[in-house]
Amino acid sequence: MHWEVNKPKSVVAMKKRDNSFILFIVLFLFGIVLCVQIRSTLDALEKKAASAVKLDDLKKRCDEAADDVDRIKALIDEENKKGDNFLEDFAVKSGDSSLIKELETIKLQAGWTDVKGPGLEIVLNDAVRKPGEELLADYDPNKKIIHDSDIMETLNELKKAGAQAISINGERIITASQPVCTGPTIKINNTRHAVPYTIKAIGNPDAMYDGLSNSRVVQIGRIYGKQIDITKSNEVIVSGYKGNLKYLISGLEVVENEVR
Amino acid sequence: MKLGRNVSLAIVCMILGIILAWQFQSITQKKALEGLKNKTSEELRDQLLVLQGNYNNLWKQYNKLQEDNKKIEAIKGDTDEQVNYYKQQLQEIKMMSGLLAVKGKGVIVTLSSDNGQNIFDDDILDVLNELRASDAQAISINDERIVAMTEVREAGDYYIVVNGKQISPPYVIKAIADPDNVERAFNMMEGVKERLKEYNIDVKLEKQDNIVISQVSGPVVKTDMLTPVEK
Repeated sequence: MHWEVNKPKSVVAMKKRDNSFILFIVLFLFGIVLCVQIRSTLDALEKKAASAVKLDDLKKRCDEAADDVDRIKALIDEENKKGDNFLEDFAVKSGDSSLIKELETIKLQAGWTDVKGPGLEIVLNDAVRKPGEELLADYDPNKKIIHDSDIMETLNELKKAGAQAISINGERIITASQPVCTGPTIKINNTRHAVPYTIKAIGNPDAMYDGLSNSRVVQIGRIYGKQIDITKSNEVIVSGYKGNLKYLISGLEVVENEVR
Repeated sequence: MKLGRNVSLAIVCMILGIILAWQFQSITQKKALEGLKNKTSEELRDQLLVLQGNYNNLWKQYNKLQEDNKKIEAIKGDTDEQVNYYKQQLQEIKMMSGLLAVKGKGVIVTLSSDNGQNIFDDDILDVLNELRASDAQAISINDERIVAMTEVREAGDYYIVVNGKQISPPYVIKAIADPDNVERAFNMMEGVKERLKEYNIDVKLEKQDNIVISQVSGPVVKTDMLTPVEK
């Protein structure tokens, strides 16, 4: 009897101890988690403020540098116009219409003039990175970005389809132009450019569109997720070459008597 | 009473679970956010470097142009000088764009393969790319002058089309450029010579002091679809 009464009592007591023990552990964990959370939130807030200032500063410096580049480009334009005006004035003053025509043709052939006509506008950009993608075993960032070889092949496809004038990010492709890869950017006509690359080409839009969209560079590029937009247009404007001619012919001499 | 305690314990556990999940989520989010922020600041830094480099280049160009254009002022009123200057300017444009035959120091690159293997359009483009990257000022392949809109097209097994004309191996590519520059670029590790060797293409490079490169033949440069834009 005595024994039988005692037993449930001890069970109840044990249960009670058990419960408070669990409660202790739970509250203990709760406290730790709360602490960590608060600390990490405070930390993040602090970092955010510091890096925001840094980013703003960088952005400001970038904008200023871009303005500087624009300003010097305008100055170069002005100087180029001086040279151009001399040639035009001279031809016009001579009163010789064949001289005027000759000058216009040569400038057109050399890529000196801003021109318009039917053609394509192509925008090339690196593949969009999907979250966690870099953890995949076969992930290769090289296959995701636009290389100079991609641009070179794109240009060749356009030329095969009879393009008559091409520019990349406003840089006219002339005889001496070649996109050269220099790190994350590509150098065209001695000026560096980064993605996205906007290529404008004047020529037969249908022929260029078909040639380019069936080409290896576009088809394989698209498989890897590179962003390649090709748009036909009735009027594309391709600007003329803006640099200094002297750099491009410093090593050339005229052949007097061997002209074919 | 017993039920009440169990329920309250369950609620506490639930809250703990939610907090744990929240904490976990906020940590992963923070990591992702930090990665993004680093990327943008890195991108901005790259952008800044590019802009500064471009500015320096353009500044040099501007100074040179300004210097050159002083000549225009100097010869004002002197008709003979003006005629000369006009002719010279026109000639320079024609030289650069391939409308005139030119000569100068440079290299002759010969591509050949002895086991009958094709040399593809890609391989030719690769060589042209390297030459232009080493600042070649005039290039021809089998005496077809390479101009701005020159295409390189594979057309059948043993020839390619350049400027609308068929040419076949061996391909002799002439370039007016700094010969040492070109040699260095070609012989670089994993350079064009090594790359083409993997395809059993033999690249022979010969430096020469007097290379003549002919002009582009008339109808190659087409401009019938181009309309000048009035400024």
